[in-house]
Amino acid sequence: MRSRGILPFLFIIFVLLNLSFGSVRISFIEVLKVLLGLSKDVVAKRIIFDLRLPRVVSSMIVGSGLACIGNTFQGLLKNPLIDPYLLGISAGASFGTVLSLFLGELVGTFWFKKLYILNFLFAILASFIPLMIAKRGKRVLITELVLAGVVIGTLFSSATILLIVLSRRNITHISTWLFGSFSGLGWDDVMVMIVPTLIFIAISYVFWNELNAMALGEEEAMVSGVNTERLKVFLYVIGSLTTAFFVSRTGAIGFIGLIVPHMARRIVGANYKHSIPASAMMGGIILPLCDTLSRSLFSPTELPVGVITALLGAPMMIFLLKSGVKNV
Amino acid sequence: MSEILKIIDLRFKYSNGFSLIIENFSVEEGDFVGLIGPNGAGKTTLLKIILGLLKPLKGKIELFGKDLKKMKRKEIARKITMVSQEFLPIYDFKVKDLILTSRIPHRGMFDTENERDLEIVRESLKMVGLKDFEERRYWSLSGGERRRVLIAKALAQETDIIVLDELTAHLDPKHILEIAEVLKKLAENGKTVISAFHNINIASKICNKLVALKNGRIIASGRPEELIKTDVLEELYGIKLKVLREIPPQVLF
Repeated sequence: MRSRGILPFLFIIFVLLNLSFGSVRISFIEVLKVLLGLSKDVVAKRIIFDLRLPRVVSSMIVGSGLACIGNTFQGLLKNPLIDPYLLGISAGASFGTVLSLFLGELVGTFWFKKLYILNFLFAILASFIPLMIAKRGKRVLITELVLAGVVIGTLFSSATILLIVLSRRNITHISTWLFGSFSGLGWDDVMVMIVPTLIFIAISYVFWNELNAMALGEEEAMVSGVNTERLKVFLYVIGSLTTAFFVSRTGAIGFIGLIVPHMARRIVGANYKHSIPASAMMGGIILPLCDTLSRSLFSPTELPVGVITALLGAPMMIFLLKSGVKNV
Repeated sequence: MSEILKIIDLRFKYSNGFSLIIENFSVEEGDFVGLIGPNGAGKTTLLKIILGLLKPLKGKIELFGKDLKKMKRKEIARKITMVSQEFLPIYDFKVKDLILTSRIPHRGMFDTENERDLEIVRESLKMVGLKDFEERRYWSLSGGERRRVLIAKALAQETDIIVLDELTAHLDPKHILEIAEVLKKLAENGKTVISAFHNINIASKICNKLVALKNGRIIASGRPEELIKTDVLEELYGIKLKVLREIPPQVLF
């Protein structure tokens, strides 16, 4: 229980650390000075406020959001291996992005260069098709939903590769995007992502006990008075929408939504009342850290952050699976 | 004694062709009703229909005089609950957190659990003989303990009716007796219980009313002394058996 109190403290330390590292190293003290408005260093101020802070804040939001969505989906779909990106949403968004680049090249229209519109649309499409497939009358079958999500995801991934091959252009930019990146995000992106994230976290927290009941099994939850169909569709839809907002700005960042909830539950227990805030906080610490690594390791070249999350995430997951209580 | 559950002209069908037809079935307040019958007779199906987990094709189910179809899940959950044989939560919950889910029907959307809820959790655990088990992990418990936790969960839901599905299945005699003790206590506490039984002896010992189901039809019902007879049971299970007419009646097979 003591570890719970440490999280907010860690959170602040890590924010400062993340602001300090990068292509241009700014000292810890200087970061503090800039944040408190005491610095006279104009360059440091610009780097911190216009470049690093929106980036760090974005990665905090996405990290918190993904971890919470993963945590919620794992209980809701009764499958501890769910990652919100596994369910086709990211593949749909990636397809949308590549499609807009492709169309943009083909017709040269200004509109197609506005990436967000098409990839947001396809992210939503890719999350709603599985919902339609899994519907039987008024019921949504959860195993079917997960399987349909994976299938639709694979379909869109293949379609993406097909488009890339057809367009025959330099795909470095696209591959960065496919693995996720916070490069070049500004305050407007922060604004777009923070609202759905806060809404999702607040709503899932309201339903902590219902989510506990769902994790016991759908029938158990119904016996306890939960309207399971409504809860499933409601949380799935706002979780997917929130993820679509993320993917449309940052690309597909895997593993955070899968692993962070497992780590959080390991620390605070399975009860959603505690695992929701813990996931939010740990996601908000870990993803910015990964992003800082991605831009400092081979500076000035940047790695896609998804590469870091996968490189750290896979061994972490193996460790969690091998050690101690299973499935927690 | 008033009728708190009434089923009239119920029809239900699975896609595999199994059908359940119940012309008339009613439960009075304070009853301890035992459903007996071979595997696949429709006992669990009937229980699930009573809880509104399965929707019948036709027929009317009245819970405290109200049409079950028109009741919201929370409303049903304040009147009736079910104890499954066992379930597998995906996470290793603490016993306390697991039982607290039964307080959902008594909670508003923004309420969090309060002292009273925790008190009810402690009380119901005490009732099933698992005092101080709140902080234990569900997966660390034995089969018998798990089932008693599930009974405690049903108790904490504070419903008038508790439905039980084959609670003594897969348990050794010691655990079966423990569960039977707990069930008797439920009856003494004024709960109305409807339970499916594999073990006819326990059913005849603790129920005041038995219902024999075969192939989705009720073939007999009545008090245990009326129902536990060689001819009825031989027809029901399709085997030769012998009833020892002691008090209470016992079955050898």
